Amino acid sequence: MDRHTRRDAFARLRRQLDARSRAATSPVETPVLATGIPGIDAPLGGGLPLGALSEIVCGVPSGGGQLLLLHLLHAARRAHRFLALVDAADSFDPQSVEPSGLLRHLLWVRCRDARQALQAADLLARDPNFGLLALDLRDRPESELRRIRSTAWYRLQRIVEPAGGVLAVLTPRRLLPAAARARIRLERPLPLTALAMEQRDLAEQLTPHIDRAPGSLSWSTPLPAGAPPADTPDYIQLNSGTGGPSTPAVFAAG
Amino acid sequence: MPARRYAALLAPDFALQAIARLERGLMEKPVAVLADTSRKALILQVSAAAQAAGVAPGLTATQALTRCPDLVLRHRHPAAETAAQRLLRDAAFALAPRVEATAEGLCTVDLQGLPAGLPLRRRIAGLIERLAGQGLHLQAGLADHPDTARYAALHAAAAPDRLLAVADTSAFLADLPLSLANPEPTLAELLQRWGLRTFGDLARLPRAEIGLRLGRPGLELWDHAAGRTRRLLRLLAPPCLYEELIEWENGIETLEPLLFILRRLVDQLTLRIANAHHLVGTIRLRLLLEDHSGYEQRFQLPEPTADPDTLFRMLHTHLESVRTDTAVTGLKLRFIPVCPSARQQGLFEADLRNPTRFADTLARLIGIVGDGRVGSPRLENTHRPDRFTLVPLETASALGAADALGDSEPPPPVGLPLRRFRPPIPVRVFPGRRTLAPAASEPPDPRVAALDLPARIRDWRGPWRASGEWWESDRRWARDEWDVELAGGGLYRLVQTLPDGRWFIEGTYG
Repeated sequence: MDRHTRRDAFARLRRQLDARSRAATSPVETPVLATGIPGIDAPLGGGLPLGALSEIVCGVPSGGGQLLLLHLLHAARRAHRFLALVDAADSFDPQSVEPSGLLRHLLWVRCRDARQALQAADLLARDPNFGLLALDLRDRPESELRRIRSTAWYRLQRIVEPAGGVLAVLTPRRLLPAAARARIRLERPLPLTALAMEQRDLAEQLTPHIDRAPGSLSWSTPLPAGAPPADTPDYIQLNSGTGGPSTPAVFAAG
Repeated sequence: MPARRYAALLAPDFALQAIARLERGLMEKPVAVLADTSRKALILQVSAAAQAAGVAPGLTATQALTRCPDLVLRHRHPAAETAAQRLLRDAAFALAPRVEATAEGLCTVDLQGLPAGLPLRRRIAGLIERLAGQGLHLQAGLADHPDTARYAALHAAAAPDRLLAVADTSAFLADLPLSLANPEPTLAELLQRWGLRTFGDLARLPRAEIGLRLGRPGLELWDHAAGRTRRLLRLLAPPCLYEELIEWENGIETLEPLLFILRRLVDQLTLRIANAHHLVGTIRLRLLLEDHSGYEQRFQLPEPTADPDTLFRMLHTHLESVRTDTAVTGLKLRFIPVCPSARQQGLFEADLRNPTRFADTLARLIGIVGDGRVGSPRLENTHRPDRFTLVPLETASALGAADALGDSEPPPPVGLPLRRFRPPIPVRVFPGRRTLAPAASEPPDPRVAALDLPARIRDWRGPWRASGEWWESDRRWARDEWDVELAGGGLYRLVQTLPDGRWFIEGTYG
């Protein structure tokens, strides 16, 4: 192959790679499930993304995680669906749900450890009858959480994505890798006066920090069509660090 | 053509088949079953491979091994035969309700009263095929007399679908050997000396003369040979207990062989339950261990079903997480049936996307987390805290529950929901210093570290007194509750039980 032919081939390859990376990261409109909590729905473009994992990091006690869970139950009721709650610490309190008729929309899986919880979540994520799944890993010992491999989250993401369901994972600390399309951090513990407030008002006061939202990925400027750049090399030197042509799309979290 | 009023279902070489159902691949080998456990036990039944090698019933074990050194010898397995007999019996009940357990591996069914247009041949062929899938190979005969049906079943091996229907009783019986009727030895010897070998030979003689010379036994034999036996079936009552127990000598230490046996039992029991038009509501599984202990687990199915695949998957999922100290020497499985509930779905209610998958998922969840830990919570009618029951998901009614709550949003609840600590965390309270400290426990409660105790109480609300069942001396309860905020943040429910005065953190709000 001569120099010009190699140059043409290289330019075509770069254009193909760039077109594909743009297709993967273009901000398409993501269907969402509204939680009813303005501090979450507004930054996320309407709610938790469908067909994706969302992580809710509850790093402080009484940060509003359980309140969010109740709102998901309300969302299930509005959608005429079930919420499947995989409770790794068996901490859910049915007596806290008002009205109690909401419990008819809840499937509660009372696990004994994180391993059982992940097994149950995997099973439920594959079932098309459960479009809304919450995995609560709070109050599990750190030793159990450290044993969860990151590949488990990617596997769950791959299961949830084609089905279009919602998988909300409540964690005591940041646990999910890039598999989570949205990450919400509840950082402020609620005061004692919150126990006398209506949950509707409490929901409006929640102001979580949004670490990651759907559609917040950026990409480099695409190469212009036509003749390849003059400095196109005959080969691509990987990890050169300096010089050389501009590299293909780089993904950065928003 | 007279109506065929009786069907006979026969499992040839029944003792051998019963054992082969438990040992995969046994029938491909030369196998022989011994009649008993004595030293000079005779061969009772042989497989086709053993027969081809020259081994025949009636030989001693030594003689058989001389002819076939690779011969596999087995003793009779009473439990396996009982299980196989039950399977056969339940298959017979699937045809008609009047069944006789005629002999080991043989059931006779009275077909009288069944609808005229019933596709009987197809039903019997279907039964034969289903049981073949469970390792029990049947032959069937149809005739207008029960004994004739039995003889037809004996000769049905080469018939299409292994089912032989007798059109002309006399012609069919004519060539059958008299020995099939098992006459008394003296009578048999006498007939032999007279040159009478077949049913036809005897039936051609005048009945009255046979009676004069041979008496009542002769008359009965003549009626038998002529196909005129009039006997009533000794009818069975349908079984109500769906339980199987299998034990084995060599302990099983891995899962796969155990699953093979489990699958057999599940198929067997579900067929029995389905034939009775029931569903499986509860399962009791017991593993018998080498040290004479046992492992037992109960499963309450959220969605009763008679689908063997769903039930097997649930048990399989559960057994994957079971560890025993010693090998498994037996398996006991009991299915408790329920009647399928007739429930009409509303016309405008949403359907499940995949109801079969729904039941399967729920069953497998039970296999993971255990019985009583999956379901939809319902509050009990009591003020006692943390009281609820888990019930099966009510699919249609739940999805339509929005109607029960009304189209408008319910009034907003007040306060934060609680996350419970199960069990509650025992603590010590120092009111003067407004401090919570962990209570002494051995081993230390790991949850205490997450609460960062000891901790100072920044603020509190309460107490609120709650009590109940004061009229029951052994069930009365009372407690004082506080809502506290700790200095480091976090809202908790603090409880003091009465009258013992112990303190607990029951949960966290948020």
